[in-house]
Amino acid sequence: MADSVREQIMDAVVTALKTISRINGYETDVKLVSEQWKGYQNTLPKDIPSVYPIDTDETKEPGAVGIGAANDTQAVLTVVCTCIVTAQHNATRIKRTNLIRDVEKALVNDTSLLGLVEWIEPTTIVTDGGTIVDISIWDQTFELTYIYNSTAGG
Amino acid sequence: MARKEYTAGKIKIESDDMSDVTSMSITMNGQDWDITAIGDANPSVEEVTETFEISFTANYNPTDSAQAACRNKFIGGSRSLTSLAYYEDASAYLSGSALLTSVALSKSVGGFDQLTVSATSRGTWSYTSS
Repeated sequence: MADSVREQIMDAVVTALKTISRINGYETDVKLVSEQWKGYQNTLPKDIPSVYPIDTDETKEPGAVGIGAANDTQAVLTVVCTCIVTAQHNATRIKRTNLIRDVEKALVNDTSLLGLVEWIEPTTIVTDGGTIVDISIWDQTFELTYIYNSTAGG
Repeated sequence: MARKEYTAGKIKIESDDMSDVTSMSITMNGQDWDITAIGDANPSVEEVTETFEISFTANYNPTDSAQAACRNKFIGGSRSLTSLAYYEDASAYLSGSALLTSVALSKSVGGFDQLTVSATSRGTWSYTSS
């Protein structure tokens, strides 16, 4: 049995984030992409900049008349990317803004991901507000809408 | 009699089931002729015809044959459908020939493009029970 759509989406998210590097046309060389959150205290300096994606809440609702009809269920999956860069005085802001843009660029333009979902909407960016010493950390959230036949279970 | 729900039902355009239908309705209308004579105290009405008006909306899917047929009928210059069936559940339906009266394609941020179709019956329609 094939992996669920949600599983395939997360595979594509991780793969897309791992392409973030200057040689691939981004502004940042991401050192670590991992779904195992270690806590920012335990993230090694050599692994920063880091991106920790995770699939979180999901809403589902009927998408068409007739159960079992084509595309009868519509789901919106919320994916959160927790990002970390080091704070180095004036360089902090440009590192942060570059990685915010890189993460969005990587996900919104990834053809594998767009083949699985109908559309991707960047929704929120919530930062630590500069309260954590030596690093800058934020959650970058995306909502991914996809449809499927309920007979396949998503 | 069992109640009906959105969990069963479909629109069939000629030989093709339409995919991604999000809402559908059918209205049965009667056209009457007022034959009240001048001076009569009470109206006198003669029934003339019965028609069925069908409308439905679908998430636009240009590869779906039934949706494409609705669009192409307008482009092709003839809006006539040899058969339109409105299924109230898996096997009971109202059907007959029809004439498309409008096809609308709309687009908005944050949702699927919508195809909205309206049609009116031609000739006699029939009801097939479950």
